[in-house]
Amino acid sequence: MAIITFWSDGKIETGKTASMAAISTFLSIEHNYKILILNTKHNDKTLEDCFWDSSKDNKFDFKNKNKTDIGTGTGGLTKAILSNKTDPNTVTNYTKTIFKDRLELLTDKNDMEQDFETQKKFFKEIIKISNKYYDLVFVDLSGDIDDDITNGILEISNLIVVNLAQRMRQINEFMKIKQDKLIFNKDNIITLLGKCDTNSKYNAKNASRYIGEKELLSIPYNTLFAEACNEGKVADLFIKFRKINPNDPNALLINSVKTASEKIVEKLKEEQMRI
Amino acid sequence: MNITNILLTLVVLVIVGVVIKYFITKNKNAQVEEDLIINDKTFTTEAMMDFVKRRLDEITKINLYDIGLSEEELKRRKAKKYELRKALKGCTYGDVNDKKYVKEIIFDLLSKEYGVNETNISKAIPFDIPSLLTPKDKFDILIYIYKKDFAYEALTQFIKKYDLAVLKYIAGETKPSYVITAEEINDIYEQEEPALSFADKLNVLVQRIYQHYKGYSSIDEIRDMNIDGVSRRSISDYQKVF
Repeated sequence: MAIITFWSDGKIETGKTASMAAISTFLSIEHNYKILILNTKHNDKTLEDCFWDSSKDNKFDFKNKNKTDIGTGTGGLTKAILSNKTDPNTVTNYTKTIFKDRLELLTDKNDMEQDFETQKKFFKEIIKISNKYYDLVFVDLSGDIDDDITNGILEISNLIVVNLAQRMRQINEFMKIKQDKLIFNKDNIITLLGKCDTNSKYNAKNASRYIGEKELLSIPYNTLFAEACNEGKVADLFIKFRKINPNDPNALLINSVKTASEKIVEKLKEEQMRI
Repeated sequence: MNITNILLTLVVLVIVGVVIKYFITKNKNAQVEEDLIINDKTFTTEAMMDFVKRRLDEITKINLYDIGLSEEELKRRKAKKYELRKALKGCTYGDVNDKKYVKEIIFDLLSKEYGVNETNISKAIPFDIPSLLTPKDKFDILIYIYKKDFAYEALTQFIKKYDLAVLKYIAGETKPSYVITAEEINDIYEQEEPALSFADKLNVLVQRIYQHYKGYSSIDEIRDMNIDGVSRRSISDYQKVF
């Protein structure tokens, strides 16, 4: 019953999709939430690649398996919405299951640019409908804040996770946007440094001091996690490290994801209390 | 081993051989799904309608248990199949939402599976050569363009704009009548000169296929408009009076 949007301006690589995949996977394993993750980018398989190895796709498929299906993913759901079939339960018919009744992904191949342009207009509607069925809806969103669709999605979000890279220029740009745009001055904003190097001068602690944020979350760069994101093994990785030894080199990643997930849940509860 | 055992073994081997041969020949003679054969008639409205009918039939009648789906996937496919069957049934009763859904699926089938593109779509309806368009084609295009702007008020706006709701004398008729003639449609089309994108063209074609397959033929779009009703009679000279 909450929309969490992971936003970045899309100009610089921030590790936003990977961070979202990590946090949503962690929450679905550790908490009893029904979660949907939604990709809003054109022809982008990054999020899908975090959970499935696309190179193995359709290799052993029955010849007519896909020919018997109608409208999959975001495209199929858009068609259903266009035809006024807006029952929240229908959303699940167009998703891909990662964990049964826990974590699902809604994405599309979008071969045609025109299809994507039609879908874009319905993202807000899709998110609103999904929000009625799922406990948490995670949206992977990139784009200019002045764009109507981007702004529309941010406005309906219960929580906005602003993704930044460890670059001074981007941090400064965000500070400027924060001053200009009212949407980033609300209390439902969390800042997150993705793919970060803890030894860098621009680490979470220094960046939070510079931005003036009390708490700035970070997801450190981890080789195993980066590989898992490419091989579709993110879910397996988090199951494997569920009870990790504190001395394990990967403990930093798991603990950071845990902290970020808990902060998100806490912030959502705070927001609900305010309402 | 006595003679009876040898004979029994031979009989069993013969039976096994016959059974194997039967299955091999059965598979050899099985209908192989052929790829789309492209010829002059491939992109005609009739051929496309046959394809759409066949594909929708396949989708709604296939036994999903036979294609080795996972439990979750099976549940989803069943729900979607049921939705389509419901829509195919509903659209014959004139349900506008079901009509939209079925048309969206026909659109996908034609563009993604049948390979209809900017070039070959003109074989079905000659969009690029207005002189080859029939008054019916022109009316379908005009009503589609108006529907984009005015939704279900399209026909009303169309008639209002060109002052078509006036009594007219038609050649060969003694009494005046309220008609929209083919000449009027031709003139309006010339004035409007609609610029159509590929999606627009395909939508007009999809409507044409839909109205003959599941819709109410030539009055299908008119029937959905915000009008009091449609009364229909057979017109012998269809080309003269639209």
